[in-house]
Amino acid sequence: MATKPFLSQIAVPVGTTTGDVYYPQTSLLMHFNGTNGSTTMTDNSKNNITVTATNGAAISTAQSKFGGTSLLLDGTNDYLSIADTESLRLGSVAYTIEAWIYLNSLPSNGVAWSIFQQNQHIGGGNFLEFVVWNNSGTYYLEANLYNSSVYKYTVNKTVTNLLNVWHHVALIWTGTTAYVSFDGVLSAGVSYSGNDAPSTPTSYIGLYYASTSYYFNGYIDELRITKGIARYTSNFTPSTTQFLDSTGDANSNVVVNSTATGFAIGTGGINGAQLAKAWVNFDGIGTVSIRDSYSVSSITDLGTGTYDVNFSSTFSTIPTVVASTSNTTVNTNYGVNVNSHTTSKVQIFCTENGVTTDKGVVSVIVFRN
Amino acid sequence: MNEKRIIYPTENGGVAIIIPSINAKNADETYDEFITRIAAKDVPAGTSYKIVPVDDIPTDRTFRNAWEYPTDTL
Repeated sequence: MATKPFLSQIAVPVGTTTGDVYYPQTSLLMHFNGTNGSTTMTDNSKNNITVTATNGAAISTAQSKFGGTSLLLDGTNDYLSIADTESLRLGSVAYTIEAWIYLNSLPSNGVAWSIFQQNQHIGGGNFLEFVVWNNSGTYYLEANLYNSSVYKYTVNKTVTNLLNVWHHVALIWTGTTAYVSFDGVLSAGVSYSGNDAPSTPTSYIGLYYASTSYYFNGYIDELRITKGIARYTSNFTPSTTQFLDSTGDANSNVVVNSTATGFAIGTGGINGAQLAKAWVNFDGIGTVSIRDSYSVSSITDLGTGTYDVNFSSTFSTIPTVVASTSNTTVNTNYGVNVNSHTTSKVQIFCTENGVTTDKGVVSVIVFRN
Repeated sequence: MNEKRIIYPTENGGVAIIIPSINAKNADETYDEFITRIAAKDVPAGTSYKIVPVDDIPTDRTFRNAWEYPTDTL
């Protein structure tokens, strides 16, 4: 006869697949992989956003940072566009917009080429632009957020050696400070807080505005937009591989060992708030007994279906509690309710069809940040 | 080992029963020392209590809410 395991007997195998811990926050991920000349643009983020190639923008094998291909924009009129979508409404949360770029020529004096842009740079509009531009022979990597006739932030960095070389570029906004980075070197931060990003933007890759000489001439590879996360707030080494398409499993390998005295954590990093700080599974019928527990000193049977779960140590703040009981009878409403919780204990009561009742399997899990 | 329970009177005239978790027992303490420590920790301050064998606790819980704290023995 098979025996159901208790929580302490469950061990999640340690993962080995490296992933991107921020993949869930990745709104757009363009590898620009495909066959030479293809105009099919694939978003490898979880959103699978539709990206439209216009005027011949296409995958090219002529240049590539990773994967053997990249996006070729001919500098005449090629660009990509993305219709308004919730995941690219950047609003007031942090974001990171990054890509690898390779220029076939340089923008002329006063001209900007857009790497990524939300709404076109047209007077009086509301736009966010991330560009490389030429100001009297000095080239800048620059980002501007413009709303209600005001530049909410302008952040830039002089850049050199642009021609025919792959460079990693990024625009980072932390929620309070904006940076651009060039090959992992950050500009000075510019303070800005607010909610001025275009609310329902059309996004463009390679289009500053529809005018000759304002189209990006070169290649773009590995364009990634991360919403809610400022990936870089100090100088960094750009990825040496194609951006990753999953969170991997190296970040989910919390292993509670057989004696429930500890756990193992993967190298990807785990937020302590994700881990249970205490738990107990007990039988509330007949001779009330604890099957297994962690960081629980005892339970107190206070009456029919009513128990205190006493923590081994007092928490510094009141924790969050999850409680449940088994439910194997059709059309019967079972429940476990948290009556009160303090830093030292939680009181629960079990119900069946609204009546406090002893239950044979009761589980309580305690989380605290 | 004869398991123990800790009992104490509740404010509404009933009886509370503490079931210690054996996982909370320290390696360098005896079982009785463990039970005494849990009683000191988990019985409300200022409340009298008794440590009793688990077999003294009724298993028929039909009228659990009517149980009373024993003045002498359970």
